[in-house]
Amino acid sequence: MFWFHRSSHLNTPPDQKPVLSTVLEAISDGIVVVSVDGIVQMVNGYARTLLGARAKDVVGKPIFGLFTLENEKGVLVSPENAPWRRVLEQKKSIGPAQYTIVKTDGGKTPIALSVSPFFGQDEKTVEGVVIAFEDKTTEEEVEQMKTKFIPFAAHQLRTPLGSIRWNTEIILSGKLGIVPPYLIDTITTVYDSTQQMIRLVNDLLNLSRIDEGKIPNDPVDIDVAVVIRSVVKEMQTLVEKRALTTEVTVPDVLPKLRLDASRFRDVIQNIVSNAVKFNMPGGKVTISVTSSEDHIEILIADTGMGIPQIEQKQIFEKFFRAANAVANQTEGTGLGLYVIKYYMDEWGGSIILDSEENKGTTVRLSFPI
Amino acid sequence: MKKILIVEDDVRLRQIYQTMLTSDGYEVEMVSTGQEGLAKATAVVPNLIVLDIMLPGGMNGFDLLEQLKRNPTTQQIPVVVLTNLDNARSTVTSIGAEEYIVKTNTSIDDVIKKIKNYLQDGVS
Repeated sequence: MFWFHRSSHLNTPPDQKPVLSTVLEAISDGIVVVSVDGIVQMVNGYARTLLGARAKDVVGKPIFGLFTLENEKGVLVSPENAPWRRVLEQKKSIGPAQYTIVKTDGGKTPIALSVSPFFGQDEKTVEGVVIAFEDKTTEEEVEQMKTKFIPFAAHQLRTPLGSIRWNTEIILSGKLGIVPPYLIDTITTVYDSTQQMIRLVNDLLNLSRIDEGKIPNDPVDIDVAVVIRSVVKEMQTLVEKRALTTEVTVPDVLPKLRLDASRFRDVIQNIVSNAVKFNMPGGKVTISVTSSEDHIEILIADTGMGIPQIEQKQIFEKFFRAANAVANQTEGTGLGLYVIKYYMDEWGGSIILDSEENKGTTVRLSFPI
Repeated sequence: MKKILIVEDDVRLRQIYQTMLTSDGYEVEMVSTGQEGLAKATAVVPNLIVLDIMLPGGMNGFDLLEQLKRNPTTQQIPVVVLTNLDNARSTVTSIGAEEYIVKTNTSIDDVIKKIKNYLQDGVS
């Protein structure tokens, strides 16, 4: 390997050099070694393949021209801002960071790129950098498939779920005939499970939209009281099953909120369903709405298991579930509050949780008018 | 007797609409594609159209809604869009639909109530 003679600290015994050279050629990551003055010392096989025409006869020439990189936002990285420049200046490793290699023919390859400095025998003087990069094309493709698949699957799931929901509602309403008392419990369970699935599908869809940055925003005038009452009504069978009581207090006159109706409903439904499912049997769910000149506040309080103090900071994290909820085998994905927090921020509102273990949780949602 | 045209391709849901609406004394016509919907709407001129969005056969609910609202024979008929797409409200209301309902987020009772609302106040 022709570059070793330049790196005085790499006093690899002569008989190991061919081995090292073979290793570097064999690995399926791109490796480029650059001296402190920006001259390319070595380009391994994988890097030559990935960089294409640029890598030919590049050894001994400036690194400038070997790489054209775009950053995560798709902006071309100027030679002054190249990651290896930063490493040479700061003498610290960086990465792996997401970049895209722009090839001479215009083709692009997403990569994860790391740059590490190497030092001279004094272990202080930087002699150059090693640039390592990994082809991320497959991961990127999988990611794209995932972002297409989740909304597709969610919509496909909604069709049968809607049918189960409506059919169980019709059975329970008695329109098809009197339901034998011994079946009511079973059918109610089907109904509650279906509602749970619908919420899950909504959460997944919301999550994938947040990930993609494509959040539907279709503002309409919302009657807060109507939404709350309809959500509470939907939970009624579960409320009865758990022997809970609900109390909803809404002022007679309330200004309308102008928000995306489906997202608003998702938020209310998530909090109310938490208040029901994390409650103690025989407990209470209290919902009250107040308004001021510029805000509407919705308070949803339960008398349930609460969230352990130590975990309260994490509750808005994606997939986070409190230890007591997991121990109690209460269903949940840990997506609800993450999604809610995101939407509340997006709307310029706020969500505050006040919770005490084994006493209950109060959620305070504040919406600007 | 008031006539309702339902454009819905899902057999399970058609059955539900049939059960809920015919028992209340409405005449219910069912079709499953956009093309059939357009033909039926112009021929029958119902008092209300209930419209799904994702329809087979090349003409989806958006296309049909546009055609209905452009055609002098059908443009006065109120249209209730019942769909699983939860992000189409502004699209369907801007084309002229009177109501937009996300199926899984609404109980069948509320759906039927909303449908009947249009039959009381709508064109008879």
